Amino acid sequence: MIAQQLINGLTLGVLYALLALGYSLIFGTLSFINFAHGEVSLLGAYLAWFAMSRMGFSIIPACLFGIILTAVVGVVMERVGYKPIRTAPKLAMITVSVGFSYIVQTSIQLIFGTQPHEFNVIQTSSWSFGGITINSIHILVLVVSILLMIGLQLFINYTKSGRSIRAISLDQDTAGLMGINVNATISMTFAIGSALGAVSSILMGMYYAQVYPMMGTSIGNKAFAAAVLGGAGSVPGAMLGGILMGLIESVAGTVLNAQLREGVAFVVMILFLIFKPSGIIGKEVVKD
Amino acid sequence: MKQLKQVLNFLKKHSILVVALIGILAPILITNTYHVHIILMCMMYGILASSLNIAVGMTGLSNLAHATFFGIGAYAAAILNSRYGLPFYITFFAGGIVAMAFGFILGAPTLRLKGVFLALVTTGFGQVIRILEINWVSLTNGPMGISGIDGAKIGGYKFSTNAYIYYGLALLVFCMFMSKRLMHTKVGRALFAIKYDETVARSLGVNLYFYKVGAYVLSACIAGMAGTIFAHYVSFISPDTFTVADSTTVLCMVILGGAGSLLGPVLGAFILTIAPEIFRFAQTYRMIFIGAVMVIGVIANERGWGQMISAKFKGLFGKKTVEKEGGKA
Amino acid sequence: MALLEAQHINMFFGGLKALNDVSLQADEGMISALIGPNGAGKTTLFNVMTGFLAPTAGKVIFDGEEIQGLPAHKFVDKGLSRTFQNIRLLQEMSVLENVQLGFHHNMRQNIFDEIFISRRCRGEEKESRDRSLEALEFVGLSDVVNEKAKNLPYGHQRKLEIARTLATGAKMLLFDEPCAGMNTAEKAQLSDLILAINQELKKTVMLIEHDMRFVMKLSDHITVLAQGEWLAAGTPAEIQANPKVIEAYLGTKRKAVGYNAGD
Repeated sequence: MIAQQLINGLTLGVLYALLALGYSLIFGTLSFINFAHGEVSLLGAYLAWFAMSRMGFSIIPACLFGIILTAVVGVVMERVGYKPIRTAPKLAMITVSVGFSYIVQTSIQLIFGTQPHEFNVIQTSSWSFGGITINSIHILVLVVSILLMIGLQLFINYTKSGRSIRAISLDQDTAGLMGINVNATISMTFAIGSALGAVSSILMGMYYAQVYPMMGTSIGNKAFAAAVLGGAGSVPGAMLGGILMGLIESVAGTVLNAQLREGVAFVVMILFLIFKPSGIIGKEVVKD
Repeated sequence: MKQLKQVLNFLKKHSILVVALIGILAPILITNTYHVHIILMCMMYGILASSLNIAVGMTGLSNLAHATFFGIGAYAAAILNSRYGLPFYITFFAGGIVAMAFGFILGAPTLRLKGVFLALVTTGFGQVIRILEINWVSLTNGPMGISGIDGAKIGGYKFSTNAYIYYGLALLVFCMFMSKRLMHTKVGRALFAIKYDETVARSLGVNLYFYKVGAYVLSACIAGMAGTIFAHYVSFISPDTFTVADSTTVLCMVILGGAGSLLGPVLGAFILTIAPEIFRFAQTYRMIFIGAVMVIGVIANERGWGQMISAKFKGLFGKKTVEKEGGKA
Repeated sequence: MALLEAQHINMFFGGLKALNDVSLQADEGMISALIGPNGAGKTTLFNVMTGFLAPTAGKVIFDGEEIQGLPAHKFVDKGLSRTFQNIRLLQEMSVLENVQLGFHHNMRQNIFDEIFISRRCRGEEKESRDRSLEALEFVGLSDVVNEKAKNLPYGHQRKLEIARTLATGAKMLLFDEPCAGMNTAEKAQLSDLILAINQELKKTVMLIEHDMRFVMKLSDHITVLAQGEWLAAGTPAEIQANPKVIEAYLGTKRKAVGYNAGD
């Protein structure tokens, strides 16, 4: 029973981690929490669903379609919404991001309808041993997410673009003086963050076998709580935070009802913000 | 242009009077029941924006859960009234005190946090309270909400809708008057100092923590009182009455109206309450409208409304001006 | 008699020893100065003495009372007020309001006094206004009281910051590089102002300064720090003759030059 919860928690956890990475990358570069990230990511799942069920794409091209378009939406949002007010107070940026989240969420409802859509795309087979059931979606989710996280770590640490992202998160002005193209790099973080978010929401759709309009808010909330838990702005922190959040949630799920389970993420986040605002692996200083 | 400036100056100087006049005349001139309801909503949002302005505009603290305090006040009134039969003039103050207590519970441990982190805590707080409202069925009756709250009565007089409006107006005027007094005296100077430069405030003997918590508690208290008026007015409340979206809308009203000014947030509240009604948006489109206002409005506000509009005007009348957009990015 | 005394202050940031067993004294009624090459830890010591940092070890004694580790906002109540290296004004507020903030800690009125316009509120607001105007007049800014602070020229902003410390009524004022970025004429004005503050208003003054001529002319007593350690203390004449001080400055000539260039 506990082992099964751990497997479920881990699967959910890596999905939160993928989404939390987006929050954390953006926090690292612009020092604010992009409240629209959950909704934008959900767009990826909806677009993939749309490509498959209405345009007749097969699964892989449909997912790519969703991921790429979502990345484009993320970049457009950054260019239109955040670039003009980068130097403004953070509360203004937060408000704009909340505005975007309403726009995207409502657009999803208007375009794709308010009803949940079935997202049953791959044949699931499952294996049981010792009381634990693992199905192919568990494996798919774990493999894809872990590969992506490793890939992202390598990208951040060993490529020139990755170095630019790190430089900007340390000091935007100096990075700019050193010849790093700040605008392009920030757009790139939005593209990467949104694409990862899209992957996460597509996998989440497969895991729950459906997509519905409020999903973005619900998983987005948990993912940003996870990003804070791990340490806002830290890439390994987001991964760790996401996985922990998944585990906490599924263990809590054994004693709490579904509604209260939603609250666990927030309680954990608030406790962390009060007692250790820098998170598990965050930068020490909490600057504004 | 000069006349416009005079009008603006007049408004600034007599802002409380202007709001009071609008509030007194509107329900007399307008009789359509639905429109009267909207005037009442204007008062409610006006109070919310004006009280949020104390925390956000004057002290520079983030708060993404202001409607939650409104909800807490409303729930307090509903529970006290439906369970214990307490009348409006008691629940009104009780709601304020309960909201104040929650403001303290939220503020005391978290107000050492800065900017974004404070915003996150308040978001989390809003969600947790909402989940409590839904799940603590024995207290709040869960998602079904509490119905049958008595209408407000003082003495033998039973409140009409207009009476609620005037009561709300009185609270709004009180809140504005208080803000105005604060702005010109010691406490307000300290709050503004905290907003602009905490280090300086500290060096001059301002107890940052005390004033921040104080501003939060005060702003929560007034929102809670407004919530009690609303609860008695609609006689039914549920967790859906006060959403996270309402909190962000109020924040948007404050930012667009001009954080830290006296009249701005209230006017912002009036406009943003009435505008969706004029266009008669369906509920779904309303969210897009509010989202768009947040995005476009805040960007334009941060980049300077005046400049943008005057640049447009100059463009219209043929004079070419070099746009200075994008300079800072 | 020593008004402000720092005893064996240690200040470590992680592994970095910013101050290592530093002591100094500032006598009542004097102008004392704190000098040293760049990175000597002067501002760190200032921050310790004004409550912005709690020392890792050591005592700060003001007026016979140990005050280290108190919250920063209590220091002005004790009678210590400071300015900042890079001017820190509340740019969006008026000149008068900036100075009135200095009087903040002397006011006892609470929010109810303010809402109901009680007699205490009226009295205190009037006093705060009067005291602030006095301070502004003393520094020579009485004709711009309603201007926004950000609209003042640089030199006036410095004076405004000093007026703010005067309005606090503190016994001792600490100025962190008051004449940074000023030209010779402005410096002369400023040194007159500081002298007047010391002699007419009987304030004890301590300053950090890099301009040696300014320091030597103004101060009665000088403490020299170098690389986080106490190096020497004495009258300007003694300091000028002290071989260790000369070495600290000249021996690290490159550093000293670099500082001036960067200033």
